[in-house]
Amino acid sequence: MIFGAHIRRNSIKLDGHHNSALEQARGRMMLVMSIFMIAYAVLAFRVFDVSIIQGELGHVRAHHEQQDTVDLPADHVLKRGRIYDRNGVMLAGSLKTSSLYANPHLIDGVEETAQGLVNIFSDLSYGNVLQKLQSQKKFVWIKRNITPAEQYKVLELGQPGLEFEREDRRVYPQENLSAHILGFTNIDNHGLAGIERSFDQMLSAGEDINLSIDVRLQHVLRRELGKAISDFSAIGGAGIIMDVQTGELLAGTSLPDFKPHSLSDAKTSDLFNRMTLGVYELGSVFKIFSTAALLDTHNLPMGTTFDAREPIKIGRFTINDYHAQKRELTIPEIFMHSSNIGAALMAQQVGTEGIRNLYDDLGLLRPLDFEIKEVGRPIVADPWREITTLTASYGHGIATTPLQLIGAVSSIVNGGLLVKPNLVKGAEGDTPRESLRVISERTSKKMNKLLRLVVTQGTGGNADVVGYLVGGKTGTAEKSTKHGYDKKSLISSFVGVFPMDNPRYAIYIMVDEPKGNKKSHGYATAGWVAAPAVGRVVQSMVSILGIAPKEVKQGAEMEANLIRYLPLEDRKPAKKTGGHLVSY
Amino acid sequence: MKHLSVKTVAIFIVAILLGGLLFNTSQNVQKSQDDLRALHAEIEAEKETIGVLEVEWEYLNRPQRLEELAKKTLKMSVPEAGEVTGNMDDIPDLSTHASEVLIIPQAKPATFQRGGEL
Repeated sequence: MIFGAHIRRNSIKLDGHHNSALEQARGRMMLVMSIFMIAYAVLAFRVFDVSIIQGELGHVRAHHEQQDTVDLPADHVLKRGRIYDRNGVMLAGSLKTSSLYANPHLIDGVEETAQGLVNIFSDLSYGNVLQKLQSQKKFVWIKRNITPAEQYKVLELGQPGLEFEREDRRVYPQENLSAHILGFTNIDNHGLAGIERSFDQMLSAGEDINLSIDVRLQHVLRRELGKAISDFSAIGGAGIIMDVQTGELLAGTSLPDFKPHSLSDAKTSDLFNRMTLGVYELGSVFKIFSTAALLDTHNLPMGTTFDAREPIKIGRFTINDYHAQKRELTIPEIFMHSSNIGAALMAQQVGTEGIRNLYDDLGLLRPLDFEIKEVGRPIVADPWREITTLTASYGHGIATTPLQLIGAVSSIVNGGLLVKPNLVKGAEGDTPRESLRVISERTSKKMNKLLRLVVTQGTGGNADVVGYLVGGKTGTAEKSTKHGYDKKSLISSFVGVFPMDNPRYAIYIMVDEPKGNKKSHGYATAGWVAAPAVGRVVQSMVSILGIAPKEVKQGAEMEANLIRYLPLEDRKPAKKTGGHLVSY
Repeated sequence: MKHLSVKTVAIFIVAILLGGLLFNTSQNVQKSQDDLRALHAEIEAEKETIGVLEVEWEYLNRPQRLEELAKKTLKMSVPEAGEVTGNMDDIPDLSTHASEVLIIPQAKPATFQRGGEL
């Protein structure tokens, strides 16, 4: 028993040892088994997940993404900013289009593919495409910015080597309308001219720009300038509408212009911006500045006379009058008949220093600091002699851009405060205005009366619009050539301002080389060419901007006290105000 | 089986449950991400469409075209300065003359005077 017990105990002990080892082994096996089971279960699950759940849906997702080429916005490429007019009308924007490229390594049947592509894109040449397709590169552009219909046809070719990339393309919904101001970009969306160039960085960063121009006025100006150019078979022209208080450009155009979408069709002359880049001797409109200089520096009565009977001779120069009156002229007469002799005499009285200072203050002697970079450098005689002072008084011997001229005129008529022409609209309520005074308010008022007189009594009659007190000054200049001035090629321009009793808008129209027609009795001078165009612009402007006409009682006209300086036979009766409105 | 105590089994079950929960969550997250991506794609596509429509709208509303259409279909022309007034009383009250005149803006207002005889 004891033995047995011993044995048993032993065996038990042995058994117990054995047993616990087995148990342990079994337990471990179980553990390993369950770990494997779980692992297989996880694997099975994962296979199911990857192949069924994600496989099916994932496929759809990948497909979806490829179609829209859109991922999360974080890595979305920035679109070039838009350009708007002052009322939020879009002038330039960007659209996504497809561009076709080829991977020549994957192209099968180079010749057929090239033929197929040429059939779709008529502007591609077979040889050119063939050469591209057989190159050793992995990427060659075939055609950028194609239409969806073209893309569809390319897909029909079934070539795996032809692929598409989505690209931004610049679009100008208004087409030619503001072409010279907006400029254009190259195919990689980098600005090469105009606002596109000068604000390239901002636009590239996706920021929008609001310009001060108004497309409606822009259209009116372009229409009327175009009419003047075609009526008088001119080679081109420029036009600007400016807010005389702020210097904002409300419209600006230069003709001929170009279609921004098909630049390759544009001639070099179409791309030339006459408004800001062209410099011209603009002629008698400069009498505004010389007269203002005289009135501002000398306290002379308007009745002061200057002897315009004889041409002025200085050295080899002779200063003559176009509308010669051959008598002594008062200041208003000099201004309204646009007497060169008179203007030269007035400038002589002011002196070189005075004339030059005012011209400099008005920014006529330096290139303009403007928002687009295509800005012309004025041509000024160097050194400035006495004869320069005399000729500059009527706009010869000094060449400026039309934009500078209208800026200077605005500074004269708005009460005498210098304005800086500008094109980009600032935030609302934030109208930075330079308050540098160039002439006194009194002189400015006198000038406004003189300008009105030109339209009611003088050379600018065709610009008058009843009820809107248009004032202005004509300027007809002969273009200078290598052999002196050419009597037949003229620059005819008119600067108009309205309403003259509280000037708000200045309009400048310049026509390059107009030829007289039957209606103008063969004349191609400013009074016939540019003045009526400005009148028509004013007429359209008032209904667009909703400006009410003013009735002026006879004898209460602002220029009334100047008329007495005119000889009786020169005085024209005032036009009747009041319209053709119906009354029952 | 002494070693597979209730506690161990319970831990296993909890682990499996948690695993399942984790899987479920990850599936949900993936689905939400898919939805989000699809929505973003939709928004982008929508924006692009709006952009195209905006450009088209501006193109169709360019002043030059509107003027031509107004001239052609409505027989409207640029108003002359004399046809603009700042005084409401200058505008005739056509309603009181409704029986006398034909109120169709078919010509310049000036011709309405003759229109009275129509």
